[in-house]
Amino acid sequence: MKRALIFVLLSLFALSSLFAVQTIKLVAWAVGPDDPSINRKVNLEKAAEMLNTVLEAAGADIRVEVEAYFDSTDWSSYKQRALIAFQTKDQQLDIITSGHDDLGMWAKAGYVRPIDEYIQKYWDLGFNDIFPALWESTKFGGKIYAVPQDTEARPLWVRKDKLKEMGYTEEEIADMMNKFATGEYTLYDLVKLGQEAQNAGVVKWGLWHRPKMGVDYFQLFKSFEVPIYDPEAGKLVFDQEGAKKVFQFIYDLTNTYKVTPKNLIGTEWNNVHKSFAGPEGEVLALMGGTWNRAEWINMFGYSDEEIDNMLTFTLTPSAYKGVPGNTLSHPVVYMVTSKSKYPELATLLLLFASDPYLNAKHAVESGHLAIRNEELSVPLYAADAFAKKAAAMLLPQASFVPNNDRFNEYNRIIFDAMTGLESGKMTPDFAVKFAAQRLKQQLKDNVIIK
Amino acid sequence: MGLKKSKDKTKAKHSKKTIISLLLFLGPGVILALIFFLAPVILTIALSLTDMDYRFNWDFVGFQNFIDIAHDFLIGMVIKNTLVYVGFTLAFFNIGLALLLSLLTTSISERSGTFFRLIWMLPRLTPSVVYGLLWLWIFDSTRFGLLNSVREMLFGNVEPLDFLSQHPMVVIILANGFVGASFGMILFTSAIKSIPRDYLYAASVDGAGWFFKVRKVILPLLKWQILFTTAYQTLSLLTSFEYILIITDGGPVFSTEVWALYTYHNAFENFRFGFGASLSLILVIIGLVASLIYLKIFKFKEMIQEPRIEVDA
Amino acid sequence: MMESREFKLSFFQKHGEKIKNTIVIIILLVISLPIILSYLWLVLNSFASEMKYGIIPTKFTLEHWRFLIESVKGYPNIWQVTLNTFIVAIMVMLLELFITSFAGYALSRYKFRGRKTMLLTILVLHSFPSVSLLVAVYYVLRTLNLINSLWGIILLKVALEIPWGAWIMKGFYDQLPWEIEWAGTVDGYSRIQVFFKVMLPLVRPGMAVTAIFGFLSGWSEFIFINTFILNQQTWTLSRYIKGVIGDFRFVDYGLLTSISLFYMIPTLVFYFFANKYLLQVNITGTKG
Repeated sequence: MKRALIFVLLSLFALSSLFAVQTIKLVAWAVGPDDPSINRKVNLEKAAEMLNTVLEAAGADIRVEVEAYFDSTDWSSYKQRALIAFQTKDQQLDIITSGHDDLGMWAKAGYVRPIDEYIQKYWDLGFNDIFPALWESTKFGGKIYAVPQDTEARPLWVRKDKLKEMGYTEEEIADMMNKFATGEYTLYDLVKLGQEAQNAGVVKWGLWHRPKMGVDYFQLFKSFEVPIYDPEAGKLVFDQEGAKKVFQFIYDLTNTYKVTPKNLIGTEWNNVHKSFAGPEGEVLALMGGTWNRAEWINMFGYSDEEIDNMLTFTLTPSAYKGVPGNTLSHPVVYMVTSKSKYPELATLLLLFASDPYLNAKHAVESGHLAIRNEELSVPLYAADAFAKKAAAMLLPQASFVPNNDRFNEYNRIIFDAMTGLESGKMTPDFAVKFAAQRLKQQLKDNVIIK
Repeated sequence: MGLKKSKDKTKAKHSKKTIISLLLFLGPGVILALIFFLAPVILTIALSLTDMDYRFNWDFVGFQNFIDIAHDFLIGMVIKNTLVYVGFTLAFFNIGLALLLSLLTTSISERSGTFFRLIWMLPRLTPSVVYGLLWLWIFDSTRFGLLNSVREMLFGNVEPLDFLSQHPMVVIILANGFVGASFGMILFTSAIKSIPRDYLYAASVDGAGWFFKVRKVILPLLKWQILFTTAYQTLSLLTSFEYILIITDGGPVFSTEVWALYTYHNAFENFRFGFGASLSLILVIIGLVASLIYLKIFKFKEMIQEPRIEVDA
Repeated sequence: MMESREFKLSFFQKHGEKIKNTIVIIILLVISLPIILSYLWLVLNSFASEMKYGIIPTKFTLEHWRFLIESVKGYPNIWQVTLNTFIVAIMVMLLELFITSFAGYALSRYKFRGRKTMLLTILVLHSFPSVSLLVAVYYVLRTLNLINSLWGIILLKVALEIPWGAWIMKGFYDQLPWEIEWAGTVDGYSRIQVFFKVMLPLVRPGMAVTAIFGFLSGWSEFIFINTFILNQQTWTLSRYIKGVIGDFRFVDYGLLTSISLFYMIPTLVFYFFANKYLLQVNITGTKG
């Protein structure tokens, strides 16, 4: 493989060998915002080193220098700055990291460029090893715009220790989790479990979820088998009848079943982390992400053993008996900008950044999952029991939110409806009307309202 | 003859030098005003006719934005919130409380009066984030907030009240009102202080009680100040949203979303610049019209008054 | 007979006066309680590790002031942020001082075409809600490449405040008699020299007022920073505190109050040393 690589590089840079070593600078942005994800930036730097080693060995007179930035603020201001960077003429930006769901918007606006030809060119050098499903998340309008950087899945975390306090044994708990995954237990059984835990006095709340806008709650749509996207038409869909069912469930969580607090949305993340994963533990279950585990170890100083004794996880159960649970995956991807003067070089850099070992390091340290086959056998990754278990249980049932340029707005409106429902200020009927009308007005023809 | 010549010479010299001096003295200010006042007003009009979003493309869509505003699902609630917010804050605090404070602080000794007036100036001086934090603490939903602490002191172990989520509009009105009151308070106080002592003594001798004096002597003399404050503060309240942004951010679920905040959210959270501009335009028009009216009614007074140390805010 | 009646009246009035005063003071205290208590809390909680009834400290600590030494996790260094705030405050102050001293003089002393229009425009601009132009201002700043730059904030703030500032300075110049300038020109100085050597020093009170309020205005600025600054490193204290409130509310009030108190130091300094002027002079923009 390495030989082929050297040959390719030689043919690429043959002409430039006349002069002294020329350094090409690439500017790359990466984001966490969680601290453990710093490898998104570090791996690019390491990739440059690897690339330079090969260039030197090949006797090429070109070196690559990567100026990489890591943002740990929050997604929203990161994306705002990205927009400004795209639109500022003399600001160099070659590679940008973000969630795949931004791809649609940025591709449509012309800020990032298709890299199919380069992916094809270097396909056999490593790109072919990345899971096919992940390439789907990099496509827009049938073209590839990015290289997958990582993936995660969103498990339903459950406090095993609290269940034990209620009297369940380790085997019973494992069996329960399995039943949620296969569909023998449904969402409503989860609610019952939450209420049981509340009544037993071991926790204050049965079920929490993210307090800010994100993509997790679309898992509930999947649980109720309500579509949100029409791939043929390439448009977002709002199914009013289906949405009503989802909204009813959300409404009931806080108002009827009372397993979720009414003011959960708007609570601060610190509070959510503390309430669920803190030593006291006031919540039984949390719709979270695989990366939370690394975050919680960091925050509360748990050892691997401690956290494994405390938590277990499963898929988000379906609302219907017999239907397996589901999970959402939100791959983060590396995109190449339209204004980059070296798209091929950038793509090549991304190939190196996707090295199995580098990616495994990122995955293990930040609680993400493997993106390629070779990564699974990297000792670091293979030894991580959690990553293995998560991948095995969650990935097969994983789906993505669509790559659509209006998805963010759609998301916002659904989230607003959710906020209204949980706080009790909107009834399910009103919420459906609210969402339908706002979607129609804001997205106009870009959404199909059924 | 000689005199005339020198007069002409000085006049000609003056003109050139004057022009240069004027340019230097007024130039920077005028340029800044053009860039940040005039240009934005024109841009607001232009942008309101487009569908501009994060791509910053000038896509002209005519009056579509305004039609959208009329059909917007939330606009009814936004208008209601704005009217309630402005109405109550103005009536009860910016005017009402201001009057109360000025009347009360002038009826006691100068030292005590000044002491209290100073206390009421503190909110106005405080940076908005800190002031917002204080109100968040007062209505904090845990037992450590002021309201819940007082309840705990009075009623023992009670469940803490989440006043902020239950009655967000009340909190907003209180927060803005406590700051707004100081404007009227200062204006009314200086007016009361300038009422000739004889008027009040005369009324006292005639056996008038305090309430009577207030109604029949003081208030009529404050008419102009009250009118001025009402006009000025109405406009100010219609377009303000900083404290609301910090304390409730329009929530929960749009229950404190006023027009100005709705504009801000649309433009800077959803990146709908065209739509946001059209929402702004309504405020800009109201602002311009109101400023001109206010100028017409009060202009004489402003121009006549020798501006020494301005009593204003 | 008349004497005793007078004596009776004044005795009654005196008695009633004291009662009335006490009642009024009690009423004022009750109304002012939220303000008094909340500012007390601000100070007390920043030094207390435990509070009874939310406001009475039982244990004292300096722990909450750690942020001065080690950065709060996920937040930029406090001194960088303070420096940014300081830069904005100083530059707003200097620019306002410079522009309004000059403009005020011109408006006061020069007769030129359009003077009346300019004065009227100033009055209109002063009452005009500049905040409603935020959307268009974003576009302007973006075109000038000043988004995410403190200079964009500084220029914007100065632009919005100089109309009224110029009016105030004009007022100070108006008070100075014409004779001073005539005396100067007769002595052989040009008008510009007279301005610098004579007029400016005489309006020092006005300049002091402009400087103080300009500084405080720049120091307290929040909404523009919140809208136009996207880099944590370019934050000012106001935006920093908003972030901290978001993350640490309910969790660490000690931190919130200590940072807020830290932020308020210039404001409090001014408040305690210059409050005499406060009730008489107020140039800060339209708030509330």
